[in-house]
This record gives sequence, C-alpha cells and structure tokens, in this order.
Amino acid sequence: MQNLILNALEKAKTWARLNSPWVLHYNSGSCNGCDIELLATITPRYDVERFGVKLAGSPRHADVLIATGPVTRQSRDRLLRIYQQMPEPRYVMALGACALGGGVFHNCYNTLGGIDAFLPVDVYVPGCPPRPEAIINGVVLLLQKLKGEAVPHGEPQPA
Amino acid sequence: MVNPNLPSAQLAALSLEESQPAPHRLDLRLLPENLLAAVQALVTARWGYLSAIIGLDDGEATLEVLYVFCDGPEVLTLRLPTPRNNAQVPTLTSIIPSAVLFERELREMFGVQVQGLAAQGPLFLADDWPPEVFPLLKDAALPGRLEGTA
Ligand code: SF4
Repeated sequence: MQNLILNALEKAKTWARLNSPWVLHYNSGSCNGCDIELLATITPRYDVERFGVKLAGSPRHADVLIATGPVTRQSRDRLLRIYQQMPEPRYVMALGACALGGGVFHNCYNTLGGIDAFLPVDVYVPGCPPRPEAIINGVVLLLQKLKGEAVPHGEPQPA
Repeated sequence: MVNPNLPSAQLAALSLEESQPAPHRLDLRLLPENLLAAVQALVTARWGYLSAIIGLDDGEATLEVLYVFCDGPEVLTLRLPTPRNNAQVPTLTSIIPSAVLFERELREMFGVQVQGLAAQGPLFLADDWPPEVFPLLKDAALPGRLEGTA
C-alpha cells in the first residue's frame, strides 16, 4: 500500500518535472557568449517559458543545471557547491564548446577542462556559442531522457 | 606624428634606440632608470594616455616590459629590457595612479618586481594558485590538474 502511494507520488513528480523543468544557469569561466545566447533563449522571442522552462533563483529549486564555459581553477569549488545544493534527481546540461571540453580555453593555465571532468553531464549542446534553437533542442533531448525515451546520439540519421 | 605635442627631443635624449615598426608607430628602447622621466615628459606634454603594460618573454635571458601609449591613431611603445632572473621595473603609480592594475598583472603573470608598488598580494590568479609560479613565463612549472568528482 505504502509502495503504491510512493509510486504514484514519484509519477506525479516526474509529470510535473517534464512539464516544467526549472533551470539554473552557472557560468564557470565562459566568455559570456554562451550566456548571452541562453538569455536570448529565455526572452519572449523564443519564449521557452511556454514549455514551462524557467530560471530558478536558487539551486535548491532547480531541476537542471545549465553550465557554460570551461571550469576554471577558481570556480571549480563553486560549481560543485551549487550542484550539491540541488535536490535529486538533478540534471546537467553543458552548453557550448568550452563546457564540452575546454574549447578555446583548452589547456590554458587557469582552466581545468570541460564540465564533464567534474560533474555527470546529461546533455551536451555544441556550438560557439550555440544558437537558441540548439539550446531548445538540448532541452527537448533532456526531456526525452527524463521520460525514459531513447535519445539519439550525434546527428539524426535520415530515415 | 599627428599630435605635435610629442616631446621628441626629451624622449630621444632618454632612449637607447628608436624604431618605427609601422606607420603611426614609434618604439623606444629605454633603461629602467629613464622610464619615469620619459613618462613624466609625456604626461606633462599631455600626449596620449597609457593604454597597456605588457610583459614579453621570448624565452631568452632578458624579458621586456612594454609601456604602450596611444594618441588617436598613434602608438608609442616604451620598451624596457630587464634580466629574467632579477626582473625589476619602477612603478608608474606616482605619475599615473591607475597603472596599478597593469603593474599587479605584470607582477603576477611574469614575476617582474615593481618597485614602489604599494598594493600587495595576488589579484588575478586563483586563491589556491601556488606562490612563485608565474604562468605567462615560457618556463613556468604550471600546477597539475585538480581531481574531478564526477
Ligand atoms: S563556447 Fe564560445 S561563446 Fe561559449 S564560452 Fe566558449 S568561447 Fe565563449
């Protein structure tokens, strides 16, 4: 009986999350290009809020961490602290070439690598910077993953 | 030069060597002891503004510190050679107080001692950066990467 209730609750939570994933944006060393594109994605022109995607003010209210830029030596601990403050289940989206593997800052003396050197990344959005369409595509992929659907890797293949 | 205020005679007397690498550019090589007099001459003549202080490491025994002044399209560079193992330059802050940021950067990135600079401590590098490692020197022993937790 208890299990049934818990299962139902879990389903309700997943349903809510799918319909309204709240995101937290953290820049751990980005040049600001990716951040500007992410902000453009949130503006009324692209209006992701109609899908329930909305910036959360605190890591404790966020489902998805959108991380831009390489991880610098100074911001590494802050990035980890923010991630640890997020409630489970939490998801990470790496945005931009730098977040994927260091990008133009690769092997720079003060950077330590991409986001996935420190956090488990669920979706990678390449581009320098990625366009808002690519970011929205990344969110869609993440939602598919949340639903438990198969997520395509790499380029979609022609049917 | 477009701005006729350039104190050419004074600068020529202070410099070792003069060259024009491109149109609108003038490079002067100076000894560190003549730097303040040259900068004072520029400031008194109201020629240009301090645009940047740059460290230059060619991997040789002598570093160079470049003081770049700009006025409209014109760029005047004062080049100071200084030995790598005992790099020292005087501070400009007594004449141009805002040079402090460039000088702190020079000190942290190249290990050049800036004599007379009041500000202490690191400003640009990470809190856990090892002391006495100057990342923009060609032979810097950079610290290893930190371990991830993923
Ligand atoms: S991927 Fe490009 S736009 Fe994004 S932080 Fe790196 S350099 Fe800047």
